[in-house]
Amino acid sequence: MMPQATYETGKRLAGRNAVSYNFAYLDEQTKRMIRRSILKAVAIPGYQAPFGGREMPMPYGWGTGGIQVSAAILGREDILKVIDQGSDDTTNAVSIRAFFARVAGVRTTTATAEADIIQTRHRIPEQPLREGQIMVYQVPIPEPLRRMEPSETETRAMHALEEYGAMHVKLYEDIARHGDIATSFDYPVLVNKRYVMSPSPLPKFDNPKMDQCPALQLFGAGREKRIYAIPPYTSVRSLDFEDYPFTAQHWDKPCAICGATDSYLDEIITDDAGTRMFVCSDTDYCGRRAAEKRSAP
Amino acid sequence: MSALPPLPGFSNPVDNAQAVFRALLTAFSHPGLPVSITLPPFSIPAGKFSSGMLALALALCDKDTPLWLDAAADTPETRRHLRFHCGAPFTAEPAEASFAFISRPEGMPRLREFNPGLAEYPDRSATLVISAELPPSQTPALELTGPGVKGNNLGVWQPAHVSGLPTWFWEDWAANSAAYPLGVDVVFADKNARGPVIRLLGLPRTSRVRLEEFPCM
Repeated sequence: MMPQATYETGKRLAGRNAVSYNFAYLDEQTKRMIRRSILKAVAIPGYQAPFGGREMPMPYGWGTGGIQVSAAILGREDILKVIDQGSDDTTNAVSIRAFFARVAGVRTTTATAEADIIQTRHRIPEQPLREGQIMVYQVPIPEPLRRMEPSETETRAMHALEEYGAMHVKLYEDIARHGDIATSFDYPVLVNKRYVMSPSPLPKFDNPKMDQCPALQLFGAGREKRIYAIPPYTSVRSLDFEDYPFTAQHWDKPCAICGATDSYLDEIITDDAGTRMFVCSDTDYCGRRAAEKRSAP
Repeated sequence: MSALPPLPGFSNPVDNAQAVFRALLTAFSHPGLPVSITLPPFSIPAGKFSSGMLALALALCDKDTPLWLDAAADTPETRRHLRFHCGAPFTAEPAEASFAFISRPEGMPRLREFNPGLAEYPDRSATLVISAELPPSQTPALELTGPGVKGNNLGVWQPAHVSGLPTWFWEDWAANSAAYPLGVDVVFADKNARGPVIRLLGLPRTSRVRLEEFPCM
């Protein structure tokens, strides 16, 4: 049996096998450093503020940036929700939720409306967010210009000079090659009319939800050690051209489980013959709608 | 040099620092709206440091953040307290400070004397903690807009109530906004808040301000 852990700050259990982490795993000096980066990131929307990323007890690529941001902002009274591609019950979401339940003792939930902090990998919940909520995004590659310009020194200068021609050329090349802007996820946005920002690998379906969102949005990249933010009620515009305006994905069929026509759908292969169904990627939203349908007369 | 042991800091450093940080995060996320929190009682050294200023220092400052204190705030007791609890170095130059604590804004340096950051790293700028009057809702008010103000895209302005600042302050603030993304960020701590109740009002560099008294601004 696992030893019973206690997380009371400053107290060490006298008992045998007692384990004690600081509240929310990180030490206080690290939290202060991350908090200062978050505050500057909020003051400069879309700008990538460096921070001293720490080793976390999980590999890079599993959300170490998002976890450090969550650990720095979490309080004992907060209710945490974690999603991975919209789902509350995939490995990444379950293990991060369990991690914080263990090292911070916070309450967790799968209900979007109940959560104070929502850590996410690659989706924004379908249910509109409210003021006071904080979204924490796990970001693999924070630099939107990285594929065009490998040098960090150069991309820093490009952001400083507001030199975003290369990004428009990339979108233009999409149109020249495919007849359309083919980028369907991690679709670049312009934040507060100043910084081009990577929205993390969100499907572009979610991009419009970021604009003038009442919730605070924080982005953490663990490997690249960057934090950026979109304050509530901030302009977030997906880059496009007058003659090729931004469009989000849409589906011809509703969700096969709940019948939603306004949500982001995942394609699920159901047998070896290639039969497929389309269902909501947001499991909380889909489950709620399906339950309402069942209880309706 | 006093031989007395230093006064204690927060009664619960982990939770109190988190609460103060979240209050400031909310204040920066919703500029112009005062944010109040009540902390468990904590010791305040003799001098002009208000409880709000001290709470921000204890929550955010450490060896990596050079502090600048204005003449009114700079007492031996305050220095000793901050050195012991934060381990922060002090600087005599406003331009070198990460955090500046200003208890008497009438005599404060002009905003351009503080570090506005670098073009490539605008986050390396100063945060100014200014003790000011945050009256409940009397005139004169100022109005501000920008990220964090609901309806800023539709031309909505958020009324904010701050007084006790030098006459040049808002003129300097306009210059600070014009230099965006460079610039300093300001948090006002209510000088009249007593004891463990603290009130903060955020003014990040993205906020543009107009004064009701001077409609031309």
